[in-house]
Amino acid sequence: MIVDFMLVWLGFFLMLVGVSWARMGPAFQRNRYYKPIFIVGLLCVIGDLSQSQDQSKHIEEFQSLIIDFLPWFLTAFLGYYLVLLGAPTYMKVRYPPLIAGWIIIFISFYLYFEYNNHLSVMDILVSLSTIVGISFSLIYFFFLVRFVENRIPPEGPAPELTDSEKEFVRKIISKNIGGDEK
Amino acid sequence: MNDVLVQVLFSIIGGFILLNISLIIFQVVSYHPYSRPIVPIFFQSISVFLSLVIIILIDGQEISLSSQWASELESSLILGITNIMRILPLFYVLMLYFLFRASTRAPLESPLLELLESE
Repeated sequence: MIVDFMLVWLGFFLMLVGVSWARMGPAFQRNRYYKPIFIVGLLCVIGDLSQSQDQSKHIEEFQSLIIDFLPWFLTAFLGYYLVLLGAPTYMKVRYPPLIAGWIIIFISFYLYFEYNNHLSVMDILVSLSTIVGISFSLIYFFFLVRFVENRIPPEGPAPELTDSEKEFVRKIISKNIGGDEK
Repeated sequence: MNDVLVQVLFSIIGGFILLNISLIIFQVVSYHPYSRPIVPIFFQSISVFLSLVIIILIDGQEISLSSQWASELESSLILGITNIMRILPLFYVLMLYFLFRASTRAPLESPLLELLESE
């Protein structure tokens, strides 16, 4: 079962790696290859859906759910992106992307009802309980990180700058504020 | 046990396992000299293992090496992902409100931004 579905799990793993590399800190050490890794992962997941032969019922259901999910989700994503691009957040409003974005968002909701009309309210209510598990996991992670961080002993005061370091800092400040350099 | 209650329980555990495994992967692949991931990863792995034990017990199986550990883990992950995909539209509807506000608000007044637009 695991082997049958290996490409999807590999894709899922690569997508997680992509997201992790995009968000890892500190900011100046973020990995620049997060986009290609994420796209390769997405292609692995989508590519495996076309090879659904002799799969178990559980996996077939999952695959059909992904097939129902992708059309409206990708359309909605494009619509949201266009609306944010056209919205007057920093610049003046740009009507072409703004209007196109809202139209695409409404199309995405049509696609959602078109592809997911078999879902019942009960299914969605049961699915909502996943949020409880996710919240537990986040709170648990928060306390684990807090526990580890609190056990790190505070560092002593930093030593005074050496003469060469002082000169280096003075040069940088002089260069930036335009002071007289001797 | 009530069938719906079992589904809810599996959904909660599925979400818990999915996010724990995602956070474990996040901590491993985004390791840098300032992070200290060993203790969180250790306790999160134990939690995932205990969650699987609960699922196996609810399924009526016996705990042994021959239990379907990998299969149960896969089922839980599938359930977690499936449930997130099902409830995602609700969050999209909530986000529509903020998107509408962003579409209709007046732009910030800033001389620097005006300079940028005039170029």
